[in-house]
Amino acid sequence: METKNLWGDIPSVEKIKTPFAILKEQAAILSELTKGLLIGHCVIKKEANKFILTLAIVAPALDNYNCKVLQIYHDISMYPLNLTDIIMSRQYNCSDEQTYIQILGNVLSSDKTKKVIVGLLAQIESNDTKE
Amino acid sequence: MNEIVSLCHDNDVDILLLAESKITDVQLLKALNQKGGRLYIAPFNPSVKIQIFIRYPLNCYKLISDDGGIAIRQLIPPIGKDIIIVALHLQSKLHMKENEQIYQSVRIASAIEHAEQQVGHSRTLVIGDFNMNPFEDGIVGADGFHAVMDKVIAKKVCRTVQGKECKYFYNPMWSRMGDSSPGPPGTYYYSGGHVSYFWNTFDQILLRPDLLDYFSDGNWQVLTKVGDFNLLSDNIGIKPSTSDHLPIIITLDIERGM
Repeated sequence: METKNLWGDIPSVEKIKTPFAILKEQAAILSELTKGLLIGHCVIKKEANKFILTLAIVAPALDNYNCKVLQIYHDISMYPLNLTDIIMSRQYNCSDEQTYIQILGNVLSSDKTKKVIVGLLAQIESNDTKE
Repeated sequence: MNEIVSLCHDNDVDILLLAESKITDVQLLKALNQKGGRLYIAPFNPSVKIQIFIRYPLNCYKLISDDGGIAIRQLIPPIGKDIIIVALHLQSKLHMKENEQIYQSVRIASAIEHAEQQVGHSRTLVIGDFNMNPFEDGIVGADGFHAVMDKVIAKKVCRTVQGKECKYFYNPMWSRMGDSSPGPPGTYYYSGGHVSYFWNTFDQILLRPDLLDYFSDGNWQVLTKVGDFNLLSDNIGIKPSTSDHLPIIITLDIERGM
């Protein structure tokens, strides 16, 4: 007798983009936009049942100065997830991928984040001029 | 603002760290530098929670890392030993449970050790509003700040706890708690709740043992007066017109031996 598949159809993994994958894409874009002067650095850790994602801006030319931008907590189901804007000390709850992308965009393009990026680039340029 | 300016000039402050100030960098710089002399500058500072003003050339100041309310910098003075300064303003108990404060302390301790490895020494001063008292687990815990009240213990540098080497900080704040201690009984006054210490010592300075040769008990204090202006309330507590915390001032003799 043939064994019945009780799992049902398992969706193709290729169609699912994890929050970390989305974050890594944005980290890579920062590196491209700044011609490698600033690097978007993503880390993922697992603690108990939670995945902890961190995004930092790293300036290799400033002795690898590291500024954490945001931190994300989610469980195995990915959504809803909790996003903390570390620079502005604000927390957001993202119920799905669409909301996550929107909030992520707001944080990355915020005035304060831009100020950090511009400030670091100016410092790098200034140090380069002196040398 | 006048009180801050007076405090800096009266005490010959080289590095000013402010948390929760509503005064902008530009406003304060203009006031600080009004009288001339050695000028204060406000170097680039990504932190939204802490303002930093220094009376050193810009190349004496290096960014190491920022993480919310924690700013780690390296100060390389023209004369004397370079040091690591960790300025912090941690979340209050209104926004963070006690166990969360402990987890945060562990994270910060790790960031400090990373900075020390990067810079190549452990001449580290941690200063700011911890929103924890010196006896709380986040300050005392081996995985947290591991800050002890006795220099003799701190000078042992580290101890092994459950297989992990844990570096000490020395916490001089223990000697300034309560009304029999020099200065005020604490740095922050709050009288609510069933269990209330009334005077808390949330604002603290912690020193690695490598800095203790440049530190003496007579060279730091919790200020209660700026000029003739009394920061303490006539009744009890702190005058709300300036800040709800008392400032701490510390002198490190880092030019010693040069």
